[in-house]
Amino acid sequence: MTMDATTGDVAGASVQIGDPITEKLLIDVLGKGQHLFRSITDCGAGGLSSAIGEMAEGIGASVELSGLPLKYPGLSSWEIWLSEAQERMVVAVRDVQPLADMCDAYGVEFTDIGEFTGDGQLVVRHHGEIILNLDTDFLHNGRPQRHMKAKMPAPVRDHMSEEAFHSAFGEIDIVVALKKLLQHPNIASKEAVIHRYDHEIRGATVVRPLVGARSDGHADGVVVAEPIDTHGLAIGIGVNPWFGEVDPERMALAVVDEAIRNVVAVGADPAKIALLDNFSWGDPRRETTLGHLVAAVAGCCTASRAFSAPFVSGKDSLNNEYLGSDGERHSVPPTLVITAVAHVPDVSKTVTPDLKNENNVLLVLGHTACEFGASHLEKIMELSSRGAVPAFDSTAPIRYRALHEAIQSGLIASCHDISEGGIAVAVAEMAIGGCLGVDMSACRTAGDASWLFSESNGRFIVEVTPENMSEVMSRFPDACSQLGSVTRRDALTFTGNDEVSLTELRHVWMTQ
Amino acid sequence: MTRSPIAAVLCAPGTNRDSDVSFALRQAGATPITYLMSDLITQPSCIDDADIIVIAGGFSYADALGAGRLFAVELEDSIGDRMAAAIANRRPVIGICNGFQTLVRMGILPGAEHVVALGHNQAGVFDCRWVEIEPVSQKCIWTRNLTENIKCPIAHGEGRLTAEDSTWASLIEADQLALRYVDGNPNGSIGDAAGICDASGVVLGLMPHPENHVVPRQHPQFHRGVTGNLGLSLFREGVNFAIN
Repeated sequence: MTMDATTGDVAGASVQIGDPITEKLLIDVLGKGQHLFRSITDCGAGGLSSAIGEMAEGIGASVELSGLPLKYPGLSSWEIWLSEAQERMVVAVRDVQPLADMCDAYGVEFTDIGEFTGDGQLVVRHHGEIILNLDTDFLHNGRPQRHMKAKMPAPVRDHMSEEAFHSAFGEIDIVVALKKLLQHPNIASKEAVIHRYDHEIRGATVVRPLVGARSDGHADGVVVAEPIDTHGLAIGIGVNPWFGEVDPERMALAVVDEAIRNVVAVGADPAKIALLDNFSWGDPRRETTLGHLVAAVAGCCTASRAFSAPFVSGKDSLNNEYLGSDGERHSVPPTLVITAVAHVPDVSKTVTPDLKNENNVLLVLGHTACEFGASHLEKIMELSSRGAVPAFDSTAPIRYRALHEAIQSGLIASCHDISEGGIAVAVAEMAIGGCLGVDMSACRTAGDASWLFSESNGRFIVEVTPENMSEVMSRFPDACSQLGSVTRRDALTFTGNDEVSLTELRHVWMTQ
Repeated sequence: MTRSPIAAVLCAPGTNRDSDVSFALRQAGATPITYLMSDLITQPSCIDDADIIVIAGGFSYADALGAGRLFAVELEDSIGDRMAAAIANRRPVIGICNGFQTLVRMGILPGAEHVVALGHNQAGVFDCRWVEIEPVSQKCIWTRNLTENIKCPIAHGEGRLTAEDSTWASLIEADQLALRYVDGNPNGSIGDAAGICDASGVVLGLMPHPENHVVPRQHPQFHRGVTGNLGLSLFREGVNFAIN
């Protein structure tokens, strides 16, 4: 279906409408009654047909639809079998009554719809009449392979020289550019939105989305742990559809890297990361759209192997298109959201990005290259894409391991990943969060726009005490440089004493 | 050995802070037992064993017809008399967030002839943020022995306490303002009120969630070396009162 402005009116009934309370009760029952079922599948795309079809593979099942509660009267048999009504789970149960009783106590609808048979046949009846009878082996392996054509993208991958950067971007006033970046909707404060969601539930949030001296800085990832547990889970995401429009393969590599950086930055173990992918794409029957998808999947695959982080689940939503006023069909940008879920061995050692103490030293970890394809510097200067999307850094996994060990050793006072807007934005965010200034006047490169605003992958800024500096630097041979030191002054000072007040930066960041 | 009082934690469909408050009660020395609305309907006498009655926060019945309204009707219908008896016997009762809204809808808070309401936040939107609250009432058994302020989060859309000026003056006069927001009023409540008690002082209702600040690492500035102002103390007061 192609969506346009009338979709909500003409097709509201065909789109699944979620019901949070029903879902909450379902979660309550499934959590409390874990011991009462042996296997479980949610009803997603294809409804019962895919849930039972998957569970019955090689086993077979006999299903009777007539007992199922229906939202609307008059549904035909095939509609009941395929309906994607939300908040439903199919569970395999040995003894029905205990689970039925628990569902009754919680007010959750429960229907016994049949049994797994062992004969390998999937048989579905409606009021006793057989409406489907298929061999599950045929169902899973019998269909012919579909062949589709893809036109692969051929993005620019050339390295950008300093000269090319200067001719493309011209003279850049660092302070003006930084302020514009902090105002950009992708970078500006999300505080107002964050307060609209309950992020304190269960008392389990150890690293909150809002951190820092005034609880208005933004964490890289969040960490949750039951209040008495030592270990916990970190959750971080990466997304960059602007990279996707230019180079979908590098986008995928970059956003997997960003999601992983975000959990490693707060204290997660890089050896224990699971990934989820969420693709929002256009119509794959268009050869270029499918080509973008193939390239992005290839990027996911490479990144997953490089970080030894498995994809454990995901979600895709294709055909996200609309009919424009020009009469043409338009696809959404190739959008891939990667979520990283990772183990945090000790939540008391977690780290936040807000600066902690005067006189501490800031270090940049990772390699900064002149990479500006689809960057935010381009956006604020209203340039169309110049050059290549930042390349994947294959040395990143080793660095993340070393950073994790430094965090575990208590050597890192604060840590922030470098992403949109580069080093300049990252250091400004750390300063705003901690209400402390930074003096970068002694850093040779902290006056070069190509260094300050580059969006190269695989980088962090860390804050360490002066005593721990050489120890930390020795752990990152060839990939660590000094950025500056933390001050009590209301200022960020760049090379050549270019200066901007923190109060002003905070103001533009908070009021886009 | 001191007895561990039984705390009945009452939940409706949509209640979501039952495990949080159960943890806080356990940390404070009580033995929490969770009762679903369906338990209370089929066996209302289960509440008679409770030394403390707790109405947990959440979105009971999806806040249909108004926050706490259906929960209040169900509780009144199933255990209304038993709750009244428990309060008359000076057993501590606490309603947090949706539980506070429920106690107000039941008419238990502020009680007597007084009428108050919990309306939409002044800003008109759901708000989750940390606040600091100061114990005020010397009548309320939950707050009268507290020696320091509590820092804990709010997470609500309908927490603005409103009352007629004359009603409010009477409640202040009767020492029923239990807890007051300091350092900013997040929802526009009259008198910066975060919680009120009934005329007897055993029933407390409050919008903030002290159950979400019972261990030091839950403090939002924990990573900056700041801890303290736990909400645990409030639950200890309730438990101590129940024991004595």
